[in-house]
Amino acid sequence: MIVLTLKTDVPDYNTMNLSGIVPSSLRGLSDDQLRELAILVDERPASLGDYWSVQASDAERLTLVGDLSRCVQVAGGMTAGLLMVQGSVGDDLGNGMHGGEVRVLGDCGRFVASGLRGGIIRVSGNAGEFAAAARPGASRGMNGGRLVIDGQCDRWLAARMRRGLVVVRGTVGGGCAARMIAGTVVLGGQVEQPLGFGMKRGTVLHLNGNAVDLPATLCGFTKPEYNELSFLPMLLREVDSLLVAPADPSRFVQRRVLRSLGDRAVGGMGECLWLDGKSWDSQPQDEMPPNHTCDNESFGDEADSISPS
Amino acid sequence: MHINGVEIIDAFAEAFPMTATRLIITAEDRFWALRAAESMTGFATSVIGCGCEAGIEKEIEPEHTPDNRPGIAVLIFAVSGSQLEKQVVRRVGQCVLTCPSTSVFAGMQGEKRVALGSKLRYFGDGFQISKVIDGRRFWRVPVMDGEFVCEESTARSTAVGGGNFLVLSQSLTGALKACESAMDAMQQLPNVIMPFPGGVARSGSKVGSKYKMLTASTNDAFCPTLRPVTKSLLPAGVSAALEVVIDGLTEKDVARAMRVGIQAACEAGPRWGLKAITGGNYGGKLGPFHFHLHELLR
Repeated sequence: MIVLTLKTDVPDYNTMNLSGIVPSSLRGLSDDQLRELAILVDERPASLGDYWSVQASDAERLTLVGDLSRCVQVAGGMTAGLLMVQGSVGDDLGNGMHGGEVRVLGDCGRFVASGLRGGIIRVSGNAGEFAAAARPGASRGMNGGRLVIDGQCDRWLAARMRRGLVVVRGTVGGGCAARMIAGTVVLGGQVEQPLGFGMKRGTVLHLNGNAVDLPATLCGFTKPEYNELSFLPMLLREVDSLLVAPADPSRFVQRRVLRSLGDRAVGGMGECLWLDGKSWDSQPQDEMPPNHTCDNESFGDEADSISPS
Repeated sequence: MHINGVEIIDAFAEAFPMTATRLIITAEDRFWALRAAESMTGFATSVIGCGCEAGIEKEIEPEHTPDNRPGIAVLIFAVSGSQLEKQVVRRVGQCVLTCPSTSVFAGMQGEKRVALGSKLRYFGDGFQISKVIDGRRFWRVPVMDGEFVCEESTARSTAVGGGNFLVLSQSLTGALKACESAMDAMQQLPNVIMPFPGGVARSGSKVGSKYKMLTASTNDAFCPTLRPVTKSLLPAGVSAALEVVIDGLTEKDVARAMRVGIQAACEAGPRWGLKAITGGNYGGKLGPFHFHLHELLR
């Protein structure tokens, strides 16, 4: 395991770019070599050791400890291995990531998973605006992989999302799935309007259909009708495997959903699904991980016991 | 060698390389899954005339299928990857897509792929939806009962076709009873199918014919009615011969199925007049897989 702890007695800075500081690029490096690695601080070259204390041993896992809320592009370019962050991170988490797993025991900033191509990002806290969405000027957002947010998510979730799976357990701000191109968004809590405007393709699934606004309020979408979708148990099983609470096999037989297609204003064929909330509501609330805290138990036995400095 | 009084003739069965895939067909209930599987594996006894050899491998409980519905595993064998794909797409398109409530999934994983949903999706006429779940791509094709879910592709692997043994009996009834016992035992085994009706062929063939347009013709050496006029291989007292044909994913699978089938036939056969078991071969010229009965049963 390699543990990098953010120093507190360093010159002030606005942003620190950690792209490339991933398990595969650090493997086999000595402590001195690790300290010499180049990073960008306020767009100027710096050495990793100037800002981070290093503790390395032979392992596939990298742990970043501290308040990384001003660190951008954490896990940038990651292809394999496990990267854990004990603290909150800044913008662009997982930019250019193709594989491996990132676990954030805290919040994350804007554009999380916007540049995700593969692998999985888990955030135990809240996410900022434009999660899995296209960056300004970009034609598409998240293009593969999986993003799981246990807390709340700010506006513009999955706007122009192209591919992959996003699961958000908490409430979601307006603009969700705007101009969405494809992919799947699964929502466990309330979602603010507008939802799915300009949506071309893709799926938005509300796990707790009883808990959200009536689908009749969804502008630009067809009148919701009940459909039986035989693919649904497969999707629910994958979603369940991403959540912390133990799986209840009886949940995976559910195929009947309210379904609405849109945004018809742009000829879109995206689908919004409202699952009958009964089966998912039966999941005891105390089994759900806390939305706003950063305890290690949220990620099971593999979480480290290192405390943020 | 004798088993339960039945002579095991010192012969070998000759088999040849094939390529195969497994599909999982699921449906609302077992009835419809079975109807689709039976339809899809119909007219698939021999690659010579049917383009492929196919059969039902086993039933799968709902908790072990991708969509938690009752499932049937089918195996399809062909002489090449392109032939296999052609047959799979055609058969799934005509027999599974059409069957109410069904879905179809890849039953094996590997690098060599056979198109499935990637071609059948066009039936959706633009309304089809792609979904990647747990790293696997599925197509949701709108149909009149909802959606037909079909995996993007399935894998194929090398396989062995044409494993066999011949049941030689005093009577047709005895030969049938011995084959039925063999089939009951062999159908419990994974990775094999017996593609002929009931698993059994009565029209064993030899290579070539007096007619130029035929590549194979009746195996006169095992036809009881031709015993007086041909070089017969039927032992004295035998008046009926039937051939159990086995396709398997590996040589080991075929060998095990042959062993289990022969032992089951020998257990039940003697009281119905079963006299001997032998193997069908073409002098070793057809295929590289030779299953010597004595070695198999030793």
